[in-house]
Amino acid sequence: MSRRTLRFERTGVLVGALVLVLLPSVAQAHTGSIGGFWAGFLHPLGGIDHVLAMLAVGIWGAQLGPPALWILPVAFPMVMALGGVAGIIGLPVPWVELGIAMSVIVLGSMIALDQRPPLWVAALLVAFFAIFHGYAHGLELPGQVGAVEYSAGFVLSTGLIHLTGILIGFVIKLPSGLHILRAGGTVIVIIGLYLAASLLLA
Amino acid sequence: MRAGGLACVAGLAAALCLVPTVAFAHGTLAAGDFYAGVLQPVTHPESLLVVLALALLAGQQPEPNLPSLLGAILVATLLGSALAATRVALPSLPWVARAGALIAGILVAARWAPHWIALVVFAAIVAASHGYSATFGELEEIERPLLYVPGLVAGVLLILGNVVSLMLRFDAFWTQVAYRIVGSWIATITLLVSALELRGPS
Repeated sequence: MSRRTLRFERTGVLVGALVLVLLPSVAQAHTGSIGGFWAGFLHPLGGIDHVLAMLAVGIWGAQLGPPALWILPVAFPMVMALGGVAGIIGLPVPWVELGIAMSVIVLGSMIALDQRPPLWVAALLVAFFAIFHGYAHGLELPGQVGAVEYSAGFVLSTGLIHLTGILIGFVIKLPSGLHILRAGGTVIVIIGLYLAASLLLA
Repeated sequence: MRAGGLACVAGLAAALCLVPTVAFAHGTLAAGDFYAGVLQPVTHPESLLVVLALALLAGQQPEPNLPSLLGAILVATLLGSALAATRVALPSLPWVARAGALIAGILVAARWAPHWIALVVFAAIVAASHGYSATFGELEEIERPLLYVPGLVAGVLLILGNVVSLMLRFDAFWTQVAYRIVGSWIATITLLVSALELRGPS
């Protein structure tokens, strides 16, 4: 095939593709489900306190190393769902917002002070705070969207924040990585203190 | 084919694109009840959760045990689906399937296998209740349940086969951790969906 013919055919394909754009067609496949999924996906990203706490779980997991590295992110969403159920069905849980701010302070402190407690203590601590996060999310979960799509988006988003935290935590493998992580933990603690102070002074 | 002929075909295709038609994805084209059954676990996210949980659970078991476990799941799906096709109303069975997905997700996350017989019985109960709910909910839509039921079994088989093959092929440590994380997500989503459904629209 000559180069001239090849160029001619490529032009034909390009023109054909451009012509497709002119089609006055209606394309509406599964828009409702995607909407529910995205609403759920964006929900955990809406609050800096939630995002920081979940990032801290991932970073602390990476700091502790295996098996905490993956046990904490596995435990957090499951316990968070229990808190979510309590919020959805309206069970009273006191001091939720303060609990969330405390989770940012405590988890940030663990990173900043390079605390490495036994695995069960770390899991219990993370699970305790997961209840508050789950409860707050559960209260806000809407009932009118597709439950599965919304929940899938919500859980996936949470998992990706944990994964981001784990990836940040791998900084520890660098020569000064531990210092960088501890500095990051200190920043998280300061933000947590600000959030707690805002709540107490409000 | 000569270059001129190719250009003609391309031109004809481009001309066809100019026809102003409306594009309805999954519109009036009826693909048949068998295919509706095959697609059911894919097009219904809640159904997919149950099948995925069972597939992950099966993929974590020792290879020699797989044929009997997969066989039990498929036979149970067939029986549950056939029972629904007789229009016997058992309103609690969808909740059994949901609870089964939750337990299976937790078992996958914990990578804990109960006694072999107990596992087969558990998987069969979950599969049967899934087969029932996946069929009973569609009875208004399908014309020939005798085609839909084997279609559903084929759809379940496709997902089971693909997931289990994937897990046998990729069994490195980190991929096993990934499967456990997916298991925890399935449990979390199922828990949230159950709570949202219990609460109803808000």
